[in-house]
Amino acid sequence: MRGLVTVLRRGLAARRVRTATTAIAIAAAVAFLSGTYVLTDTIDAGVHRSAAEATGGVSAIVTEAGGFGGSLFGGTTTIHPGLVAKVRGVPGVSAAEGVAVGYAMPLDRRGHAVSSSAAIGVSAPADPRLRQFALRDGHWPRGADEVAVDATTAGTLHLAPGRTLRVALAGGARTFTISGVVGFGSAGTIAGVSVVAFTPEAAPGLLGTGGRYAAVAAAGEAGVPAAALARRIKAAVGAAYTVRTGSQQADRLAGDISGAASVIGAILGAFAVIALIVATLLIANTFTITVAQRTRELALLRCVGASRGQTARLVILEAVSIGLAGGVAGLFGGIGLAAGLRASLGALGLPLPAAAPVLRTHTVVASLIVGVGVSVVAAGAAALRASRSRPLAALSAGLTATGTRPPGWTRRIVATGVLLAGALLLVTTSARGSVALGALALLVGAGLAGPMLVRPLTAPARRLLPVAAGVCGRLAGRQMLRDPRRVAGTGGTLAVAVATVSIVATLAATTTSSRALDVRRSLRADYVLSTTPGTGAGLDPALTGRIERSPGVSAAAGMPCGIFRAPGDSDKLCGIDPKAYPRLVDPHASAGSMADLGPGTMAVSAVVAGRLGWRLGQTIPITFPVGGTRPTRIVALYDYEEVAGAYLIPLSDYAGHYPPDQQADQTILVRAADGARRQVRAELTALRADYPQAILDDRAGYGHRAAAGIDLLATMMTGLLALSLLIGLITVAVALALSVLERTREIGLLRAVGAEARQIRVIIRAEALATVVTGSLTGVALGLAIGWPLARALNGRVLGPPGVPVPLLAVVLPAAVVAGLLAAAVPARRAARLNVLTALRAE
Amino acid sequence: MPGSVSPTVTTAAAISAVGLSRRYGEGPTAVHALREVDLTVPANSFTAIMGPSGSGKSTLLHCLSGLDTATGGQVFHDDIEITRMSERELTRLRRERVGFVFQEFNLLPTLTARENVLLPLQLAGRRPDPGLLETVIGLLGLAERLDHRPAELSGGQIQRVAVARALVTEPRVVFADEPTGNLDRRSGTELLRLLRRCVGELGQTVVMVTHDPAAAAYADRVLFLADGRFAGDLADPTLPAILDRLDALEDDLGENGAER
Repeated sequence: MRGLVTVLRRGLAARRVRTATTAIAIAAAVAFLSGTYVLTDTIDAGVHRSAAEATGGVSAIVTEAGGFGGSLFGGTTTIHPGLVAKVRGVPGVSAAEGVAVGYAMPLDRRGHAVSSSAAIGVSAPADPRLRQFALRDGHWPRGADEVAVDATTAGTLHLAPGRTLRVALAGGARTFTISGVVGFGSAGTIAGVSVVAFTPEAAPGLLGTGGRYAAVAAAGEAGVPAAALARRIKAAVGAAYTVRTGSQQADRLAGDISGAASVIGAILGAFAVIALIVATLLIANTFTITVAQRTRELALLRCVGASRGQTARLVILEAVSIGLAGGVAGLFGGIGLAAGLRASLGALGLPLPAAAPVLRTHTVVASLIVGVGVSVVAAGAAALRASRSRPLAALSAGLTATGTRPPGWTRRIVATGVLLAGALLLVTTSARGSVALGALALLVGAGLAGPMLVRPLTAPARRLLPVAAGVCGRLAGRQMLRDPRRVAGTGGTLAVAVATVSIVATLAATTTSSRALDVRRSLRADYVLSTTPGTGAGLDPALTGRIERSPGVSAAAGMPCGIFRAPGDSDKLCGIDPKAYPRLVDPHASAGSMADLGPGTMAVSAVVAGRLGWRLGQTIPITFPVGGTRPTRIVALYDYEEVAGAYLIPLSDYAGHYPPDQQADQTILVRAADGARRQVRAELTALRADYPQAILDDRAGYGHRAAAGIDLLATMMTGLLALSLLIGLITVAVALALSVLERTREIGLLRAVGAEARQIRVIIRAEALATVVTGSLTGVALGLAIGWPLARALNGRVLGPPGVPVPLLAVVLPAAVVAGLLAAAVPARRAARLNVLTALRAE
Repeated sequence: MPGSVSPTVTTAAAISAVGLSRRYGEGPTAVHALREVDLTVPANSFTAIMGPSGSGKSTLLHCLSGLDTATGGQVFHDDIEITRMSERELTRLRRERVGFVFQEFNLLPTLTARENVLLPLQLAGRRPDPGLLETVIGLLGLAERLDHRPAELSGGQIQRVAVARALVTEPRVVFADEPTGNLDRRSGTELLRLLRRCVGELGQTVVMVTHDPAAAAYADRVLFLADGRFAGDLADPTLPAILDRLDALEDDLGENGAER
C-alpha cells in the first residue's frame, strides 16, 4: 500500500498539467451543480424568513377551504362579515379583523405597471398585531385617499411619504397620497409582488370585494398558545374554512412562492438537471481520456508485478484525490456562481430576495457525490477497460496506437434497437408518458451509438476542414477519427446540453405557432382588451357596458374567469354572453352546439375533454366558490381554446357562482361596425387612460400576445443556452488540453518537418470548431426530434406545421463557432509554444 | 562493401561549425554537452558522428540542424549562419533546406505513407516534383505500401517512408538520428544502403548520428566526439578501424575519469 501511495503521489506531482486540467474540469462541473443548489436554498431561506417575520404577530388566519385560489394574504374573497364577528367571539381571541384583498397595481409616471408579477391591494388591519407587514417610514393610511406601499415598489418608483401615486384598480385608476412605506420583516417585498395597503374602511370599496373578505386574521390573548387558539376557532367556524396558525401561514406563503410551481423554481430546476447531467458527462469524459493516456504506465506497473487489484486501487485512489480536490473547489466556486446566476436572473426580470448564501448539507453531499463518485466510477470503468489487455500488449501499443476497438455487435444492435424504439414512440404516440419514454430512448440510444455516429456525423465537417484550412484541416479531421469514443464523449456532452435548450425552444416555437393559428381561426372581434395573467388584474364590468354603448361598436362582450373544481380536475373557466359571443369568437364546436349553452350547462375544449374522458351530453359535478357543487351538462365540445379558454359557462351562471371581486372581466372582445374601426380604436385607446391594466390589441396583435404567454420559456432558454455553451466550451477545452498533452511528440514531429507555430494553432482550432459545431448541430437535431412530439403531447394537439426555433438556430451556429475558438485558445497556444526539441523527446 | 562506392567528394562545405558550444544550466551545476567544436561537412557526402554515450553526438546533430540553439560559436549551412536565426527563419530552414529521420516516432499515425511523405511539401504549400517523387519512391521500394497507415507498416518500412519524407523537399542536408536504432540487422543494413545510394545517386548530403560501428562504416567519413569535444575523424572508415578508434576513446575517458 505504501508503495502504491508513493506511485500515486509522484504521479500526481509529475503530471501537474494533466492533474490540474482534470481537477479544473471537475471543479467546473461541481460548481454548476452546487451553484444551482446554493441559489435555490438561498432563495428559499430568504422567502421563509420574510414570510415568518411577516406573519409573526398573527395567532391564526381563517380562509375559505374550497381551494379556489387566492393571494399571499388570503383565499377566495367569499368570507361574510358575520364570520369575523363569530371569530371575535371565540374565547381567547383578543382581536379579529377581516382582510380585504384585491388588485391594485402601482403605476409609474408614464402610467405603466410597475411589475409583471401579482399586484396586491390589501386592507391594513387596525390592530397592529394583525398586520402582516411592518411600517418602515411615515404612518399608516388614515383616509380613503391614503395608501402605504411596499419598500421595493417605493424604491423602484422613488416614492416617499407625502408623494402621490396612481394605482390601477379593477374599477379604474385612481391617485392616492403615500402615507407610509412598509416591509415584510427584513425584505422589501415577497416574491416580486407589489403591495398597496389601504385603510380597512376604504379597501373593500376600492378593491371591489362587495363587502366580502379573503381572510380573517386573529390575535390571541396573552398566554393562549397559537395552536390551541387555532383549534378553538376551527371548532367555531366549521369545515368550510381552513384555520392556520401564524407559522403555518408562513410555511404556506413560502411554499406558494418558492415551490416547484413557481417560475423561478422551474428555471432553477431545469438548471440543476442540466448541471447534473452535464457535470457527470464532463467528469466521465475527462477520466476516460486520462486513463487511456496512462494505459502504458499501468501496463508497466503490471509488468513489474503489480496485481490487477493494485493498479485498480491506484486509479481509484487517484480519482478520489483529484475528485475530492475538484469537488471541494467546485463547491465553493458554486457559491460565487450562485451570486452571478442571481444577478443575471435579476437582469432578466426575475427579482430574487436578497439573502446571504445558504450552504446546506444536501449541497455538500451532492457536490461530493458527483465530484468523487462520478470520478471514481468513470476512472474505474476506464481502468477496467485498460486492464483487460495483456500487460505486454498495452506496453507496446502505447501512445502511437491509432483508433480503438470498433464497438461490439451487441452494442450496435442494442443501440440501433433503442434508437428505433424511441423514434417509433415519438412518431406514433401522443400520450405524455410514451412521448417522454420515446425522448429518453432517443437520448440513451444516441449515447450508446455515439462512437458509431462520430464518423458519419463528422463527415461534413471533415470534408470542409481541408477546404478551409488545407493540410492543417485534414490533420484535424483525421485526428477526430482517431478515437471516436472520445469525440463522442466531448461532442456528446455538448450535444446533450444544446439538445436540452433546443427541446425547450422547439416546444415554445411549436406552441407559439399553434396558439397564433388558434387565435387567427377563432377570433371574430376586431379588438381585444386583455389583462396580464398572473397579475390578478381585472376590468370592471361597467367598462364593457361603456364600450358596448360607444358609437361605432357593433358588439362587445367581457369574459370574467375563475377557478372551479371537478372530479379529477381543477382549472379556470370563463363566463360568456351566449347572445354576444358568436359575433366575437367562434370556438368551432366539433360536437354538440354552442347555441345550447344555457343555465346549468357548459362547453369544453375537445382536447381537454378527451384528456379527462368527458363526453358530450355527460353531466359533471362542478364545484364553484359560491353555491357549492352543481351538476353541469356538457352541450358542446370545441376546437379553439386560445381566446375563450378551455371551459365556458353562460355569463348568468358565472355571476351567481363567483364572488364580487371575480366578476371583473379578464378579456373584453370588441367588434367595430363597418368602416368604424379607426373610431373604435381611438375610443378604446382613450378608455385605457383609466384602465392602464388593459392591453389593447387588434386581431393580429392578439394572436402574437396569446403566443407570447410562453415568453418566460424564451427567457429561460437564453440562460440555458448560455449555460450549455459554457459547459460545452469547458468540455472541449479540457479534452483538447489533454489531447495536446498526449500528442506532444506529434506536434514536435510536425514542427521538425516544417510546420509553423501558426499551423499548429490552426490544427487545434480546426478540431475544436469541428467538434463544437457538429456537437451543437446534433443537439439541435435531437431537440427538434424530441421537441415536436413533446409539444403535441403537452398541448394535446398542435395546429399547423411544427414550429422551428429560428432565433435559436440563428444564434447556435455563430455561438458555437465562438465557443469553439475560445475552447481552443489555451490548448492551441500551449501547442504552438512547445519547444520543438523538448516535444520530440516527450514520452 | 563499405568504401566500395567511391563518392565524388567536393570541397564545398554543406555545413560548418566554428567553436560550437552547448551548455545546459548555469553555474557549477552546468553541463557542457559541446565544447568548442569545429568541423565541416562536405556537400554530397555521407558523414557519421560517433562517440561513447554522453559524448554529445545527439546534441551536435540538433545544433547543426537548428533543432537546438547553441550557447556559443556558429553553425553555417553553406554560407548562411543559422545560429542567429529567429524561430520563423528556422521553420523556413526546416521546410526548405534540411530533412530529418529520427530513431522512432517518425510518422503521423493518422496519415497514410503517401500523406506522410507529402506532409512537408503541403505544410509549406509547395507542389511535389512528380519526377523526384517517383524516383524517391522507386529508390526506397515503397510503391506497394503508399496507401497504408504506419500501424500497418514494418519498422523498416516506416524508416524508409521517413527517408522518403526527408528527401522529397530536396533538402541541402538530411539529418538522421540513430535511424537504425530500432531496426533488426537486415532492415538496418537495407536502410543504410539506401542512405548510401541517396548520396551516390541523388547527390544528397547525409549526416547521421549512430552508436553502431557497423552502421558508421557505410559513411564516407566518421567524426568522433568525446566528452563534448571533437576527437578526430576517419575517412573511408572500415569496421575494424572504427572499433580501434572507439576503444582508444573509451580508454582515454577511463584514464581521464581516474585522474579526476
